[in-house]
Amino acid sequence: MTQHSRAPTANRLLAHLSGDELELLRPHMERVPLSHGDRIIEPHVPIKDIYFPLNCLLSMVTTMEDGAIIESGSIGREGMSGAPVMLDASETTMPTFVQIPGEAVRVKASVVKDLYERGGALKKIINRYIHTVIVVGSQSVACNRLHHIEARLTRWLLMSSDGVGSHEVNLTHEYLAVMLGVRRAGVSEAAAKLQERNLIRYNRGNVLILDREALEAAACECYHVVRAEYERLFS
Amino acid sequence: MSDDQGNQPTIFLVEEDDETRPILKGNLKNYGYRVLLALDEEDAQERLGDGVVQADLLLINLVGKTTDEVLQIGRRLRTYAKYDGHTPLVVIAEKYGVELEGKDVKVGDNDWVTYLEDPYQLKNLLRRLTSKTGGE
Repeated sequence: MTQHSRAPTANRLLAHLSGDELELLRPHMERVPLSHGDRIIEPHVPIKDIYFPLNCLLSMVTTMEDGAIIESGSIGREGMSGAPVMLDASETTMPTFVQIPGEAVRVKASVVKDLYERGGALKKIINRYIHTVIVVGSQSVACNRLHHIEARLTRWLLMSSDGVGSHEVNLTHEYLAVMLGVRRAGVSEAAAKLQERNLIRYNRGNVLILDREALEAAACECYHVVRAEYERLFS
Repeated sequence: MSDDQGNQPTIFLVEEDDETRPILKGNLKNYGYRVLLALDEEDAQERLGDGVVQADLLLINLVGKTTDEVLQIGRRLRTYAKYDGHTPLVVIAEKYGVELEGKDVKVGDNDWVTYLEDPYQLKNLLRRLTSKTGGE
């Protein structure tokens, strides 16, 4: 680490490592600023670095032949990029890019993989994390199929807030539409409903959660299922 | 041109998207409008019934068409419905860059394209336009 303005343990995976493992990783850690749109993983390109977000949000997306894009998952301070490397996949089909700028800890994928293969706390933590990614993906499929826009927007805002560790989330209107797989009018109208209830304030791409408790109460079961599983494994 | 049921202004909404339609209709009703719905141009023509249906404003959001194409559809519907040129037409744009977000652009005497961003943008534009036509 060249600078220490934000501790690596702001990332919940790194926070769960044993002291010995953290010390083994520390010489290889590099705290890096990430800007909106930075490409972290390109499809079908070997993954060389693992990013542990500290306060930024990464998006994994699926792109269709006609150019349509929808988010497959997001990675915040509760996760890491590059999980395919741990599963001996070395690359993936989905690009990952920076949605909300901030900082992350970057470590060479080979270094993390070596430590993973030793089978200590890091392997256990990463395996649990990969399990939560599967849970999030499965729940998202159900949510996108069965729940209305307002519920999906609510879930997405809560997950993004958890990911960056803040009640304030900066997201472009276009991005919200893409990520939720809805038309832009749908985003505005769903946000209007949440704002009418004083749950959020949305202005020029800035979403401020005004009443977290009430927003959670308004969320569909999908958010709570994922949250409970994460807390079960990481608390 | 408001209806006679409590002086609610009437919006004729053409909304093709199955997900957006119910939430947009619900919000418009909450804002105090009477809402008449059509799914696309053909359905709108059937429902407008050659000048039978009166509305204070035409609001259109269609899938897979350019903003200009949707504007032309709106203008055709206004003519078909025998509305005069004072009945506002609002087209909700779908694809646009950050530079247009939050803007309501006047593209004719009473024709508007709204590039949505903030949640209350559409509410405020409709209020402004329907109050001009005496609807609110």
